[in-house]
Amino acid sequence: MRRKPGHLLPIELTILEAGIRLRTEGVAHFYGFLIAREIKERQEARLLTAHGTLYKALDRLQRLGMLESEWEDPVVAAQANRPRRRLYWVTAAGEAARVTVGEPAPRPVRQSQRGLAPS
Amino acid sequence: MNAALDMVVGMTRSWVAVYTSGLPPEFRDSRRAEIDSDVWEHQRTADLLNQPQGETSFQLLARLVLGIPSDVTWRLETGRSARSERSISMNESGAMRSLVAVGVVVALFLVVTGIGSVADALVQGDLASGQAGFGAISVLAGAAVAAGLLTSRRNPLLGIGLVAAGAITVAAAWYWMLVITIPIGIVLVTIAFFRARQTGWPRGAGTA
Repeated sequence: MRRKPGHLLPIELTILEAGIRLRTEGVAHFYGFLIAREIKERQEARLLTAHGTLYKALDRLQRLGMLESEWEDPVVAAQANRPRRRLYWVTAAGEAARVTVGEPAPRPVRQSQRGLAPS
Repeated sequence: MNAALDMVVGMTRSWVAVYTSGLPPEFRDSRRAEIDSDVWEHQRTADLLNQPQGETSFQLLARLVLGIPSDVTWRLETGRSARSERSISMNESGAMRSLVAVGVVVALFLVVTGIGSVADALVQGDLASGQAGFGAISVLAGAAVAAGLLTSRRNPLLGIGLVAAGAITVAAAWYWMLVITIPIGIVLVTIAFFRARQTGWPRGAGTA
């Protein structure tokens, strides 16, 4: 089923929230495993978010302009003796979307009801 | 690392290799590197927390299996969007198609003329004459020009090279018509060049 443009899934909202929270804690950029761990701790889940679910959501948020990313400097990764991380951060659009979508939306008034409503 | 953990890490990498195969390199390599990093971080964190390797294996396996539906839909969406981007970039203008068609007709004229010369030499039983050799050269040159024009989008260097080789051969073989063969040859090479350029060549954008 096709999703409406701009409609965010719960996992996407959760990623935005976790990214913003990490930033307020002084972590400017996050990477896939870090955000998965953050979500797990916050939700007190037993398992980390599945690879496919997590990276698909990150990819979609980036396409929507709510996240940006860049690959870590290879020198930094080499010094730490680990694979390079893809570093993400929440954009202004992501913050705005989290605020508007995260809040409960007002109930839509159907046209026919509006017409019948007492003035 | 125990055998179970080894196996799960291998399964994860194999699965990523499977569902990213056939994607443009920028998508494929990025996803593979990202999962590699994730798996490494997962194992490293588990080590630091002294988590039993059996539990780490189970968690990695669960992350792999539960994510498969998303992996499949991501692959379908990414493949579709990559194909549509490529079809936009590969869209050829009508004017260019017409120029290529004219070039191919000129090349086929050479082929037909060459075949006629060879056939005539055969009929006269004089294959050793210069006419048969001239005909064979014309056939080869015409075929090179036609093939070069048609492949100049898929393989720019080969395409332009074939057109140039064919045009030079014709100019040399039909040396008494240099005034005509050289301009036509330049035009044919130019068509192949601009056809190749439409794909983003020489930056290689059309090959992705």
